Amino acid sequence: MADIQWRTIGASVKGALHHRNGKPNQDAWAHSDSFHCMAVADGHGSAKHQRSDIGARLAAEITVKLLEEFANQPFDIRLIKEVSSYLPGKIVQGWREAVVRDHQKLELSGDPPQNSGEASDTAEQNQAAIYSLYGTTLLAALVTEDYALYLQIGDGNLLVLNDAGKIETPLPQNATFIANETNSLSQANAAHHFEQKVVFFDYQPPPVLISLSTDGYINSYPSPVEFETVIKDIKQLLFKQGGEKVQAMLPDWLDETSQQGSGDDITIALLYCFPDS
Amino acid sequence: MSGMKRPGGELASRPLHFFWLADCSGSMYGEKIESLNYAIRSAIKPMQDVADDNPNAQVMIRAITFSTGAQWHIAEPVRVEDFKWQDVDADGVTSMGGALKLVAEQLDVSLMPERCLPPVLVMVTDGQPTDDFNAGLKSLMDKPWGKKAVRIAIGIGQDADLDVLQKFIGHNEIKPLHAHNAEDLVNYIRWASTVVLQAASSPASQVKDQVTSGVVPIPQAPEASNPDVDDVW
Repeated sequence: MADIQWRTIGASVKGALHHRNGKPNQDAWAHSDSFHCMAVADGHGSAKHQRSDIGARLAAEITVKLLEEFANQPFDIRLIKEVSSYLPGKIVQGWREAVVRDHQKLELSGDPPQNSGEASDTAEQNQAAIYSLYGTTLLAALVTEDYALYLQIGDGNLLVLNDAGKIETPLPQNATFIANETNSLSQANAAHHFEQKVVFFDYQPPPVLISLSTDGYINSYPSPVEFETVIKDIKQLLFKQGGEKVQAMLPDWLDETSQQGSGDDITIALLYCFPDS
Repeated sequence: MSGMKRPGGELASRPLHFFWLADCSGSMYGEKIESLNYAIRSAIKPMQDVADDNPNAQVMIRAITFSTGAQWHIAEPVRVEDFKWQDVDADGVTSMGGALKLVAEQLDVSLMPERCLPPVLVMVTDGQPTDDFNAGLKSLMDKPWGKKAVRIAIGIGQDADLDVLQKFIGHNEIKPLHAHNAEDLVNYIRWASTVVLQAASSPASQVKDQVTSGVVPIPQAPEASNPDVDDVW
């Protein structure tokens, strides 16, 4: 495969609703400087998930770290599908350990959670209630010379633009997510709720752009088709203006989108490879 | 800055469909139906104020009346800023099941896409169903948006079947409201039009399979008057 230079840009903004009610941005994103991977997370909000802004940040950071480790391993390419199937379990475990550490740190600093109405009779229930405080979705992508790896738990959009200009959705779309319901890293058996796919580039060429976004973005458009136009437009802007200019404009665009659209926090992360990148 | 146009086309707030389901049976005749008409009319302005404060939700209103059969009183969704209430009259029996079937037809994902906010259904009745309520409820709950709808029930007077209304609500944590007089009815209608609407306009995410009391946490309803002292219905 020819040497392809991938770049990552992204932004996360507090939604118009959260500006009005004084809540923090509960989305987060992270990417690697060393490997071509990125992650986006959308904390659930509400009293039951009152630390979900922290949960989202931890999820994005831990996932990028695990994807870096994964990309750095000299796995036999024929085993990639099998070894990557363990990633959801590792992400859940890493996230839970980080959540417990953060919870203990906040408890020690005298910052217990406000009553969220969750009764906890057993140690197991207590643990589940702690995870719930930090509940978040997660989307992630890793690209190497040989394959792309996609991961998702919960709502949000993972879209891929191929070199023919067509948008693809490599992961199944969960049609049962309506009325703000979502799967979560905080769920019991969370690893089983992941969607995952490895796409090898010997069967199809690498995409030109991969987009991860939280649901506040797509919900700001009348239909999914109109949201796909956003991704195609961004590709054109990246191609014509370059990544730095688009990166600089992203927060303003996302602010405007939230204000005139869903009102939700909005986050997008983009991995792309064009001649000018 | 560089004058780069925002990617994508026109933005849109999220639709929130609000349905009144009003009992117009003969037993509502007189003060009850007059109070219902007055209560909904007087709640319009506060409802519009709440909608103004939540510009990311586009509130659309419809209404069904049920007596001998169920029919649309407002069939096409009306934007809350244009909402007007035409008074309804009372006559006939109580086809509550028919009303649920009628609203269920509109709660299909093909008509109400995933990006919509959870719809709000407010049932107001003074009696008990005279048709097949369970069949109507099944039609409603068979629809994904029916199951996820915010369902509020207001029973008027002593003959309101609160057990049936509890079934309509479907969550034991949320109880039917019981209006003993015109003042209660006005308070409850206003609460549903404002406090419930506000909650439904900006819901936080809920983890799938952990939802016990509906996808939108419902705030506390106003206290009813003392039925021993103030019960005129």
